[in-house]
Order: sequence, then C-alpha cells, then structure tokens
Amino acid sequence: MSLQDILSTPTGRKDRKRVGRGLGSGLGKTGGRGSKGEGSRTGGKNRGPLFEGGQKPLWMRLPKRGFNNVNFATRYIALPLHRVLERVTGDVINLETLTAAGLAKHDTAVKLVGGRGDHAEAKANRAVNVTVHRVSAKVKAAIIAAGGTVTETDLPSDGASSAPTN
Amino acid sequence: MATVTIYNTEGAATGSVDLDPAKLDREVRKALLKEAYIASQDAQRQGTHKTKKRSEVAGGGKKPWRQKGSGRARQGSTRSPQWGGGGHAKTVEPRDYNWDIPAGQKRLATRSALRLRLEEGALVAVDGLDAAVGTEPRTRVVAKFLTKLGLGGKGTLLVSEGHQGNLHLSTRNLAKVDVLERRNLNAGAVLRRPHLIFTKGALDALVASL
Repeated sequence: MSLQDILSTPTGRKDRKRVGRGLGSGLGKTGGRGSKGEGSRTGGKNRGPLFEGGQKPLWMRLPKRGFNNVNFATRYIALPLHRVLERVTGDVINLETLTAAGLAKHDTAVKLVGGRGDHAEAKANRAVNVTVHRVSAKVKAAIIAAGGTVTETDLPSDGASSAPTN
Repeated sequence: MATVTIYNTEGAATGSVDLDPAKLDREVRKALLKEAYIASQDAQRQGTHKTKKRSEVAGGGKKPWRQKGSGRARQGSTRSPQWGGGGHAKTVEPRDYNWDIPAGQKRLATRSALRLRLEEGALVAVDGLDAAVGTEPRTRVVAKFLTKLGLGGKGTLLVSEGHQGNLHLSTRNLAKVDVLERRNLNAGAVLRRPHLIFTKGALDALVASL
C-alpha cells in the first residue's frame, strides 16, 4: 500500500473554507455574509450565548445569591516530605533553606505533606527541625518519630492573595 | 502469522521471528494513519515565514500629496498595500503548525503503521549492524548492507533499541535513510519511508512488549 493510498482515504477531515476567492466557489462576492449591515462587518453581531434577543436575560432577572470562597482561600505550596528531605541537605527546614533549594519562594505559604504512590507513607529518614507555615498531621508524626521538631508559623501577611494556585 | 526475517550485516537471512499482526493492531486503520501522517508532516514545518504589513514597512510617514486639488486619487502613505513597495494587505506571520492527535490514537497509529509494514513484508530485522559500526561510524557498512537487501537508495527507516549515535552518523550521508529509537517510533516516521528495518535488539524488545 503506498502512502498515496493512505492519503486518499476519506477521514471526515473537511476542506478549509476559502472565502472571497471567486464566483465559482459559491463564497465569492459577499463571502457568505449576505449584504450590508452590521452582520456583514468585521466583529459585528456576536452577542454571546446568554443574549436573549434584547429581553432581560434570565441571569439578570434572578437575584444574586450565594458565596464563593475562591477569592479568600489560603493557598499553599504543597511540598511532599520526601522531596524536601532529598533537596534540603541540612537538618534545618525553613523558608530560607527551602528557597535556597528552589522549592519555595520567600512570600509563599508552604505546607509539608505526604507523597503519592510509594511515598504515601510519610517517612523521615533523619531528624530535622522544621519551621514552616503548616505541616500535615501524618508528616508531623513522621518528623517527630524520627527525632525532629515541628514549629508552625503564622502565614505570610498577604499569603492568601500572593500564593499561586497549584 | 507473519514472519520477520532476520539478516546479518552481509545481507544473508539467518533466522526469522513469527509476529502476529493482530497483536499490533486488529486492522490497518487507514483513516487514522492518514491523520497521524498529516499531523507528523505539519509538525515538521518550522513556521518561520513572515511578510510585512503597512505599519512594518519602513517609510511612508509623509502624505504623498495634498488631500485636495491635485487631481489625483487621495493617498495617505507610500506604503499602502496598493502601492508598489507597499506593505501586504494580508501578511504571513510566523506560527506553529504543530497539533496533537489524541495520545491514545497516536499510540494506536504507531502500531497500525507497524502492522501495515508487516503485512507488506516490508518489515525486516538486522543482527549486528549496530555492533558493526559500534566503535567507529562507517557509512559504507550500512550502505553495503542496504544494497545487499536490494534497498540501496530506497526509503528506509532503521529502528534501534536505545540511542545508537554511530548508527546515526553512519546513515547521515545516505539519502532517504532515517534512524529512530524504538521508543520514539511514530506512525509518521514509519509511513514516510516504505521500508522498515529493526535492529535485533529493537525487534526483541518489540516482541516482548506485545
């Protein structure tokens, strides 16, 4: 079978419309836009899916209600314990050492968490002194079991707004 | 059951491996292969093309002649599209032509393409070719082997297991011969060349993976 056989197989792939390329094309003079008026102009007459023909649309007729926490939530950088232990060589884990290891930025809210898969059981392979914003219960237990300490600090003042979504 | 003949570097058949085409794919999906080939060809495009619109052509700041009274058509710039030396009305901009077919279809297309070559009898294997150029790249070794198989000058894709730098170097000066690692196999690369040659290692790994 030659490449041509394959390329001549119908696939449902449609030919591109070529507008304004001559009478015979059927999309010649007005290019499928009819004649004159707003609809025939660039950018004309696209009023969006919630437009109801000029009648006050449903979403404006109904009262506003409800609350969404999205603007107020505190967002943490979630750092798996095993990765932190890998990347930070000393026994002090705080924002400075995490930043130096490229795992955090000075103004982000950091939470130490367990890992996935093989690392789901959080384990500390050495004693470390941890000072970060939040530590998950499992990781806290693991660090203390390995002889380390855990201190949770206040969130950065603008933590809620500056921490990135991940 | 189709067989894949294994040749040595002298082009003599030394063995064969039975390979069930159904294990690759239950049929040769021509429509899917076409999509995969088009996607692969599109991905090859560099998209480095550019023409200038009127604002990008140098000059043209001064109004060529006054608006009224000259008897000539009003003109605002010597770089308007209708002027010789003017900008293009519709420009060609640099762009990325790459688009993805769904990952699952991509994998399926690769296997379908292998089935196609297998059915055609265009899928063979070679034992020791990578070792023959293992220490030093030698184009003549590969060229001689291909000629013995009757593939001299024909479009051929060589599939290696793992990166074989010397195999690349030994085919670099052969027109229409590509080398690809097995893990990078894709339908586009297979379809581009009508003949497909696996190294022994790559064939073994392929059979093991089915």
